[in-house]
Amino acid sequence: MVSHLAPEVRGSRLQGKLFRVVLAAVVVSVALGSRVLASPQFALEPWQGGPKPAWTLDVLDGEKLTLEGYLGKPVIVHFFATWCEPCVEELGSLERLTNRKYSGLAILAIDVGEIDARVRNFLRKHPVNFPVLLDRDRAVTKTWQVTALPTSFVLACGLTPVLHVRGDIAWDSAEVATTLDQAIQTPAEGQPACNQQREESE
Amino acid sequence: MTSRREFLAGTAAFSAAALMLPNVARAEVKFDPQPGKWRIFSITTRIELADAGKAAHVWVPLPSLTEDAWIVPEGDEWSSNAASAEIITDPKYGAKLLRANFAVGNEPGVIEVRSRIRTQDRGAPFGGTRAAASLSDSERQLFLEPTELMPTDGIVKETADKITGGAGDEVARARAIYDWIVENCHRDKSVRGCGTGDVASMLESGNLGGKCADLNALYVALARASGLPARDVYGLRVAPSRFGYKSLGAGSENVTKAQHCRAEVYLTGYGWVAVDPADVRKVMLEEPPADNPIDAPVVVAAREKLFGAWEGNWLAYNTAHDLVLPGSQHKVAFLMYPQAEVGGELLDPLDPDTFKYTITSAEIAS
Repeated sequence: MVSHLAPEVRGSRLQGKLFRVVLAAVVVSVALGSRVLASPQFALEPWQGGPKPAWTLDVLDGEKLTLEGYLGKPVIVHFFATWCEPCVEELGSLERLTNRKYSGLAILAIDVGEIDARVRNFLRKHPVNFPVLLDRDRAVTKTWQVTALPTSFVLACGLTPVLHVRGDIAWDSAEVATTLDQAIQTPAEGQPACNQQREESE
Repeated sequence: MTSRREFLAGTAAFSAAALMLPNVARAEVKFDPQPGKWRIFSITTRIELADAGKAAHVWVPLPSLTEDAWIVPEGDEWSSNAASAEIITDPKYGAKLLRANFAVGNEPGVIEVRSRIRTQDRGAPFGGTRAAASLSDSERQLFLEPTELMPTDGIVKETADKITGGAGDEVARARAIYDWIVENCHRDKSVRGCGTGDVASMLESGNLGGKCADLNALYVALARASGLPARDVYGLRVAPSRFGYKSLGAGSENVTKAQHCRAEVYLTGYGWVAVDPADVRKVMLEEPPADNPIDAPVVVAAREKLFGAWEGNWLAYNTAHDLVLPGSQHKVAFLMYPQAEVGGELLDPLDPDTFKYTITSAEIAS
């Protein structure tokens, strides 16, 4: 298990304007003695580790979904469980985030280690419009070194993590919106925006 | 939500408060389990599957733990329209279960399993002769190792070291962890069933609420991280408390929702010692008049005894973790509820709309 007190430090291959925008925000924020996003307890932190491994998971009551299929889009990968009390409210904020129509932003929620029936019942009460995937044997959770729920990663268009948060945050808050606006909608100098990359790659 | 550090910081103050409790208050309530009177119970689990159109499998936990001092299983029998049924023993933990297989047919699957057990109270072992059998190397290793939801390194080890100070004898360390759970965790009524036991998430999030599978799993993980062999014991309350504690017994013969897991810690010379901090927090939250402070006599009396003793109105199924259901690809973190798989999908044992079963308990005159 990796303690949050001992963050991973590995070589990274972060690329593009998305990372530079986020990094600039981080630098300013660190200089001011605060974390990237103000939150009562948890906040998005710059990701200090390297890339995360690709995965393919079953969508609840659907086909398989591959992370690599989202290459060219910014993605929020969100790990949760139905028993996790803070996860319930956070899923609601992620759902509201989808209504803000960020260009090209994808949200992928991964339920950790629960049976299909329990997740299905949960989503009847708390419906969401983004894919909910099932990490039934916790294999992805382990390879991504997720040790607490909820945990979320914001991936740049190359599917490399640039931000992460271990704990629940309000994804539809003004602070998060500002950062996501900058990260997602500001094209890099000489580079197309993520969603444009995606369109061209298709 | 309170942060983990705030919880840790608060421990010392709570401990000091507990030490100042007036003795007069403790004498008003009696909770004093003592061995000496064996009781025999018959437990009947009846499962009725709703869908006959798909092949199905059912797994029913059976009393597996034999400890001559407090619990002896006396046999299992069953009746069913299953195509086949057999008792299977998990090779790692020795957990016994009945697996029944139902073919596609005209009648929905039904199975009724009756288990008979003999049980008695456990009294605190401290102060007597220290002559318990030693733990074998393989058992010691098994009950020190991490499980999928109970890591023993990282934040768990860090927390255990802060609690015990890394010093003290085995009894002192085991007691310190017990007191820390009682003083820092809480019972959360909104948690489904008995909880999940995701210890790392509890510590990292600082949300130390849960039920028995959470709080007592946290005890076990912290004890293991401190070098003390420990185990969760998953079971079922089968009778009311003889000491008048409504929160520590079954409310009726229908014990379908009376699952309760406890903990044991192995202490040199004393053997496996009963530990149940989750029940202390249950008394605080639920024992009438409810929302009792930690220094309420009814809480103090239970707290004094539930490190070392517990009442024999409860049966133990097993101590297994991360159990792959035999004949299935599905794995459960622990086996305390009946499980069923229909058409390849595991049903939710906590959802009575899709998985119907009842468990009843009857005391048999010995």
